[in-house]
Amino acid sequence: MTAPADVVAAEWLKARSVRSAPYTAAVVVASVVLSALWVWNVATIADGRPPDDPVTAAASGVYLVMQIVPLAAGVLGVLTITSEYATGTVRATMAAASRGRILGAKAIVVAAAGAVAAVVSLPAASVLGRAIMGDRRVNGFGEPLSELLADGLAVVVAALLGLGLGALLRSTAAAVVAVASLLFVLPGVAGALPGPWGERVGAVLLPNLPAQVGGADDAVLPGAVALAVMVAYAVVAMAAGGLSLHRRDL
Amino acid sequence: MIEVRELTKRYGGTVALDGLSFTVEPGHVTGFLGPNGAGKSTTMNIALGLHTPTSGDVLLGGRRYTDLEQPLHEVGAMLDAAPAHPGRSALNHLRALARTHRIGRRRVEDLLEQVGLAGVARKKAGGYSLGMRQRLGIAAALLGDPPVLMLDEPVNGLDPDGVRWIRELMRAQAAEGRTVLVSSHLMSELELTADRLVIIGRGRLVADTTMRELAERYGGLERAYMTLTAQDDEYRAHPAGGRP
Repeated sequence: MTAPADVVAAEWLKARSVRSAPYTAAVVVASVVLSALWVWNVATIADGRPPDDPVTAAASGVYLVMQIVPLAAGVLGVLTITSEYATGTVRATMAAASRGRILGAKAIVVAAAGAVAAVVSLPAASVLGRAIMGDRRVNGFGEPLSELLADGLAVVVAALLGLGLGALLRSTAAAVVAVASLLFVLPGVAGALPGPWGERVGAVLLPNLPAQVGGADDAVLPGAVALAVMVAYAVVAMAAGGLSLHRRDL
Repeated sequence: MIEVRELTKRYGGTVALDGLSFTVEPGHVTGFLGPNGAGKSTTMNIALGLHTPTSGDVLLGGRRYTDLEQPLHEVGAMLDAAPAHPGRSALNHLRALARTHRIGRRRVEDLLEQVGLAGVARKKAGGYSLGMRQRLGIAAALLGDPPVLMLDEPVNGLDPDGVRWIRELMRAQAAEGRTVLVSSHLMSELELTADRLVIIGRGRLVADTTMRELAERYGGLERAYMTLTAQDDEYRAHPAGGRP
């Protein structure tokens, strides 16, 4: 069959030649700026407090980056496959190489895009945040390196999650809603669940996993398990999408 | 060569194709005709590995599409008014397709020249007229210089110059020994283009013959078609005021 490397090169060309690429890049850069603004806000509040009553920041310094970039990555992953269905190009695409190779090539491209987004945004936001905060005492601010790395992985996972769900659902709207639900709605729902359920469900939701990988005090899962759950999101979504793509008529 | 062998396709309770068999030989343009819903698109989709048949298969040059190593070098297809992503230029659309098979930029540019899109190659496909999109679809089908061409309504949207150009292109490709299957509803144009005809109705073969035979027997393609498919036309329109 058509060589995998050639299919990847073709998918990379496709990804570069539409508007969603520069738009996503702009969003990623904007997230760093917004994250710095949030840190500056917390720092300003801290300055207004007496020294024996420090502020507790409910999140790490890259908080806003992690609100925005995983969603952007997830949407990019969705669009990489659903735009083919929406524009009708899916048949021409699937006629050029095997479906598995094409989905695999798209996975490589979106994972790489996610990795680039993470590398561009997370270190910058982390360094900028620490610089802005200086040596003010703020509880809960700052993140261990392991958590930062897990944040980066979460962005890549989000991209693959989007691609897998997009392949499964074949609709941009449906897949974007699914991604947004996993990233934003379910964490809120988990918070409303009674008894220990809220904590249990919350512990396995993607946005809460990087902190657990980093060994946070209120972590429910051990770091290695949290890491495995993160990877499982991407693996399960891609497997479901791949199976659906393989079996269905186009 | 295209061999359709006992092709059957069921979607739930509906039978789209019912043991359809025919062969399309190289060296002439073969028209593929049938009423709406007869199964032409389904046949072509199965031939290209896009749909899975319930039973039977389609062989292209002796092999199934999914077994072809370099499919675009074996079969060139233009289906469904050849969509392209509206945000992408024709040049990038073809380059992406070409890249899967290591087909170079020179070939892409030559093709754009050949189909008359060289001037608008860098414009986004969303701004293209129907005729321009058709030309892009034809360029994509020709990309790998395949020995088998399958075109679905290639004339749709083309201006008179374009109509003549595609007719001459198809005849030239057939004369070079390629297999050309063209599905169309345009009787007058098909009469000028095709040498052989395959007519299907309700998923079954109705006729597999030459244009000359139909002309002699029925006095023209349209009359032949109307007579042969009279029983199989599920959606035949009636003139106002009663049955014809």
